[in-house]
Parts: sequence; structure tokens; C-alpha cells
Amino acid sequence: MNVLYFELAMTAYLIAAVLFLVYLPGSGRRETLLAAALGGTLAGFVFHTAALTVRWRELGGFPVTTAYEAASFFSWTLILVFLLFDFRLRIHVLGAFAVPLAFLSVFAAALLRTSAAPLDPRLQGLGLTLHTSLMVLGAVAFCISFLAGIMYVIQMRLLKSKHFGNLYAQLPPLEVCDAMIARGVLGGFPLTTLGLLSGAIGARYVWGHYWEWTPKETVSLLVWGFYLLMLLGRYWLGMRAQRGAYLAIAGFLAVMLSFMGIDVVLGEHRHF
Amino acid sequence: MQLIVVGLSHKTAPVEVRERLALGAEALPEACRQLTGDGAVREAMVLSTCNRVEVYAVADTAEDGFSGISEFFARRAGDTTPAHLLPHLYHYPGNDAIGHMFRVASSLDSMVLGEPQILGQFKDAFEAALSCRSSGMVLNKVVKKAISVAKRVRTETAVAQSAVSVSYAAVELALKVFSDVSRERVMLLGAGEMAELALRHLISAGVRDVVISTRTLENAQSLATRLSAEIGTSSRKPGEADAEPVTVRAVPFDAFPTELVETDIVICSTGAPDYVIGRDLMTRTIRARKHRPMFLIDISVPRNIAPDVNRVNDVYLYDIDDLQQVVESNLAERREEARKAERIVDEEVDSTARWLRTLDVVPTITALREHADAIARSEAERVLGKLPNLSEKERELVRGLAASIINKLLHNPLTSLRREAQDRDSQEMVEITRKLFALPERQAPTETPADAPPDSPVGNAADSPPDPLPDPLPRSASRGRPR
Repeated sequence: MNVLYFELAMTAYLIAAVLFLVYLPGSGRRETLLAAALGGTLAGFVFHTAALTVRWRELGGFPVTTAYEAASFFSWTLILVFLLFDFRLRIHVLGAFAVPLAFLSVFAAALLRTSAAPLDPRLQGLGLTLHTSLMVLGAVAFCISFLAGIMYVIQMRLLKSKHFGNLYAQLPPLEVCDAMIARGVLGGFPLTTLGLLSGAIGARYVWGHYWEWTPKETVSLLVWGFYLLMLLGRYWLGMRAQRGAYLAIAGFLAVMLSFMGIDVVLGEHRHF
Repeated sequence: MQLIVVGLSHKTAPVEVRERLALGAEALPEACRQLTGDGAVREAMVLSTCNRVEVYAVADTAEDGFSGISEFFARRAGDTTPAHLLPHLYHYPGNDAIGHMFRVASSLDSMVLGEPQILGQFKDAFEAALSCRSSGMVLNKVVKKAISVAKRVRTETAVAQSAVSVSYAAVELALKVFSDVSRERVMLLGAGEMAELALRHLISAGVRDVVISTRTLENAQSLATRLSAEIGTSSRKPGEADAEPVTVRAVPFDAFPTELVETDIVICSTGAPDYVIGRDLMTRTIRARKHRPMFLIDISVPRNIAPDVNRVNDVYLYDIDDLQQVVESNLAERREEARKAERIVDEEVDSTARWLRTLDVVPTITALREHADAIARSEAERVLGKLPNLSEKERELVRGLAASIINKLLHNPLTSLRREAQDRDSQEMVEITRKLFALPERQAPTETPADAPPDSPVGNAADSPPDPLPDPLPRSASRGRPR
């Protein structure tokens, strides 16, 4: 049942993503197109919620402990945050970036689903759920600054090169993108900090030591340090505006790397 | 009865001609009175802006109206004959007049497509016509329709969106860097006229903190005093009383580089022959600002800000050509949107024209009803005279019977008259009806409104209530479009 809902959600996201990408460079007022894109996103979100709920009840625990589930939960939260942003701030253009990314993430989740190995029973428990949830929520926050960073860089280039087309008109002002970057980092940093702490404590109970310096742990710590410096640098060193945008993009790519890249590259199958 | 327009605009007449005809706001009611007083037209409204002078009127025939208004124009221009003005005047009757009015109100006929002032001027013209009661039922309805069409065009198309003047383009660009200019400080460097205009636009967009610096401090100070005095008095609109006051400061010219650090927007227009702001200065400034972005506008020719300043990170520099480019692309977009707007206008003209045509049959319908009612009443009374023993209730029944026969009989003719009128010229139908029922001859179209019967449903201007839109179809059985 959850698979059906999940696939419906994936289809809805795909349609919404395409609609948003058509909407983005368009001219004038195209309310119907936008309404369709938002409607598709909302429908996808409802199916996705249903899929998560069904899975939750099947599992008896919050479904966030496999890579598939984490990716799915990531896009669910991303869509939720986008919808809230859109509702509050009416930055519809964000959808053209967030919804395709959410679709890619559920698509990746769908691919991972078939290969998902059953979880080591020792790992099950509240500690792991807490750790992965926090890490995913942190990643969503960083993702928002990543998307805002992309919008910033595009808008900045258009402004510098003096191309005043439709895209320029649609994208939000630089200051709005910059504020979104800052908020994303400000929100993501404490979540990731707590996530790493809960992970270390969990590891202490399962394996007997807090930290092992595996590649994944190392990269995670580096990413955490990167965002710490970014946060401090923003206020003390002027790492804002253009540089802030590039850093936000780089930071999130590193997050992605630490989430899945390392596992794939090093062929290491201990997911956590 | 016809709605007509006679006028001239920037498209047909040079300013030398337009200025001779232009009327100030205070002269409008008098002009309307003159027009309707002449008897050439029943209703009139005069619209006068710097780009157009037009008379919208309701006349019995288009030709009479045209010549009457043309003479009015000739008198205003001080000529004895309209011949000299004629090449500049356009005359539109009927649907073309309605369409023209809708396009003017929607700013589709403006020199700057989509400019917002025209609707206000249009409303003022209507107010003036109302105040001297020269606008009657037809104009009231069509003008109000024009205002609502203009609003529809503005909300449904982007024809009035985006900046189309160089000084306003600066504000539009600034709003792509800053989300809310009310927190930003603006520096005016030099005091060129266009720079001052851009500053004023920024202030009305919300800027509250202004610094002025010119080569001679006195000039900056006097401009600062003048600006704060003006803003102090003009920005106190009702409801905005809580708005933060605008502070305007003058600083010596050699102090402006240090002031730059706290400045977010610079408008530069000094008369200097070379660069006043160079790349080094901006690199230092932006570093000192911890890379909070800056927005520079160089309106001066020769330019006063080195072009390579734009290469400094987080500094956005625009010169006059860049602003011009913004204006061009916005205008192109407006032209695109104007096509959508034209479709809206066409739609609305159709429905208004249909309504207007039904007015032509109103006198006939009224006459027919009155004729029939008179017959019903007299016949009923004749019968009642022969039946003296009836109770009051039975007498009522007899009267009711007569009235209901008349109603049943008239229902179809009246309905088809109205329907006919909506869809095509109803002249023939009216004539047939009048002949069939032997109704008295209509008011000859050449008669002046003063001779029109006071109870005529079309009415002359003075008899029509200025405000509500009266229903032109009295006691309608099946109003509106059939089915």
C-alpha cells in the first residue's frame, strides 16, 4: 500500500516539477500554470504523507532508518518546508528548484528501495531514529540555503551581466536569497550538531565507542565544521552575499556526499 | 441616439494644437455645460490631459454630434471654422466610440503604454461631467463600464507592470537587490535633475535615509532643506501618519568616500568630467561593509563611476544605457500584454453595445405599454359602467381581466423587441411596431433635448439621476439575453 502511495507521490512531484520548470522562465502572469504546479506539489505531498504513515504503522517505528527511508523523509520535509515558505513568503520560484530536487530524491529513494539490505537488529531503536531524523532535518535546512544559493548566483549573474529577461523578473531579490541562505544555515547547524551528538551516543551503546573516524564520520564532522565557519564568517568576515551563496552551494554538496557518496564510493555498507 | 467621441491626441495632433484646446480641471464643468447647452448633444463629458482633448457625447445622430463638437473645438481654438482643426480631429461613432473610450481609460492609447495617471484623469473628467449634470444615463453607464474595464485590464494583464521611465527603472533594479529599501541608506552624489527624480522615486518606494553630497556644500544643503520640507508636507497622507520621517542630510564632498561605507544605494550625477568613484575605492568600501551589497546608479554623461566597478563582488553598477535597456524590455513586454488587453476591451465593447442598442427600443416599449394600459383601463371602465351591481371585489376582477389580456398579448412583442435590439439595429422593428399599433410618431431625431418630454426614459441630462445606473428597460418581463 505504501508503495502505491509512494509512486503516486513520485508521479505528482514529477508533473509538478515539469510545470514549475515551464513556469520559471515564462513571461507575464501565468496564474493557471502556477496553480497547477502548486496543486501537483500539494497532491504529491498528500500521497507522500499517506505513504509515510502507512509505512510507519507497518514498521511500528518512524521510517527513517534505511537510506531509502531517509531519502524519502528528506524530500517529504523539503516539500513541507517549501509549501510553508510559499504560503508565508510567496516565493513561488523556489518551487522550480525545490520540487525537481525533491523528485530526484524520491526517485533515488525508489532505486534504493530494491537494494535496501535489512537493518542490523542491534541498530534498531530510538537512538538511531533520533540520529537519522535530526540529520535529515539538518540536511533539509542546508538544502534550503543551497537552493537559495543557486537562486542568488543566477540572479547575481543576471544583474551583473545586465540581462533583464523573464528569469530576472521572476527570481527574488538578492537580499531575500541571502536571508534564506542565512536562515537555512542557522536552522541546519543546531539540528546537525544534535544529530551528530545523538549519533555518537548511540554508537557508544552499540559499538562501545563514541567515534571511530570512519570516512563517513570524518566527512560529517568536516561538513559540520564547514558550516560552523560559515556561520561565524558571515558575521565576522563578511562571508555573506555572493561568497555566502557559493559556500551554501558547496556545503550542501558536501552534505550529500557524506549522506550517500561515501557509502557508494568506498563500497562500505555500514550505513550509519 | 448615438454615443460618439470627437477629439485629438498625441497621435493626431502636435503639441501646438493640443495646447490651444487643453482645458484645466476648473474649466471642465463649464465646457460640459456649453456642449449640452448648445443642444447638439444630450450628454457630454470632456477629457483633457496633456496628450489628449476629447469630448464623449450622446447625440441623436452621429452627424449632428460631430458637427456640434467640432464647432465647440473650433471656438475654443479661436477659429471661426473647424476646417483648420479637422485634419487633427478623429470622430468615432457607436462601437468605435465605446472601444476608444475603453482603450483610453485602460491606458492602451496612451503615449506611454499602460501609464497609470490616465485613469485618474478619466475619473476626474467624469466627476466634472457629473457635477454639472451633463452626464446622463448613457454616459454614466458607459463611463463606469470603462473604469471597470480599465481595472480589469490592470489586474488581468501585465500592461501596467514594470518601470517605463529611466528614473523609475532605477527603483525597479534596486528592488532586485534589496527586498525592502526602507532600511537602506541612499546617497545622492551631485544634483542632476534625473538623479533627483530617481531619488524621489526611491523615497516614494520607502527610502527613509538620504545623504546628499555635491561639490559645493551649500547646494547640497539647500537641496536637503528643500527635499525635507517637501517630503514633510507631502508624505503626510492620511493613514500614513505613523510612517517614519525621512531624514535628509548634506555632507561635504570630500567626506563622501567615508560615508559610502554606510550607504547602500548611490545615485551619481555630478558634472565632473571624469570618474569620481573608482574600482579601488569600491573594493575598500565593500570590504569595510563586510560585503553587504551595494547598488550604484550612474546617470551622468560623461560617466562618473568607473565601469569596472561592476566587477567588484557584491557591487552592482548601472549606467544610463543599462537603465534605458530595462525600459526598452519593459515596454516590449507591455506591448505584448496590450494585445491581451485589446481582447478584453473587444469583449466588453460587445456587451456594452448590446446594452446601448436596447435603449433605442425603450421609448417604443414605453409607448406601447402606455397605449395598451390606456385601452385596458378605458374598456374595463366602460364595462363596469354597464354593470352597476358588482361588488368591489368583482370590479377588481374585471379590471384585472382587462389588464391580464393586455399583458399576455403584449408579452411576446415586447420580448422580441428587446431581443431584436440586443442583436442588431432595431430601427425597422421599431417602425413596424409603431405602425402596427398606431403609436404616435417618435420624437424626430433632429429635435433638441430641451424639447424631449421630461418623462422620456432616455431623458435629458438634467433629469437623470447622476449616480445610480437606472434600468433602461422598465417593468421588464424577461431582461437580459434570451436563454
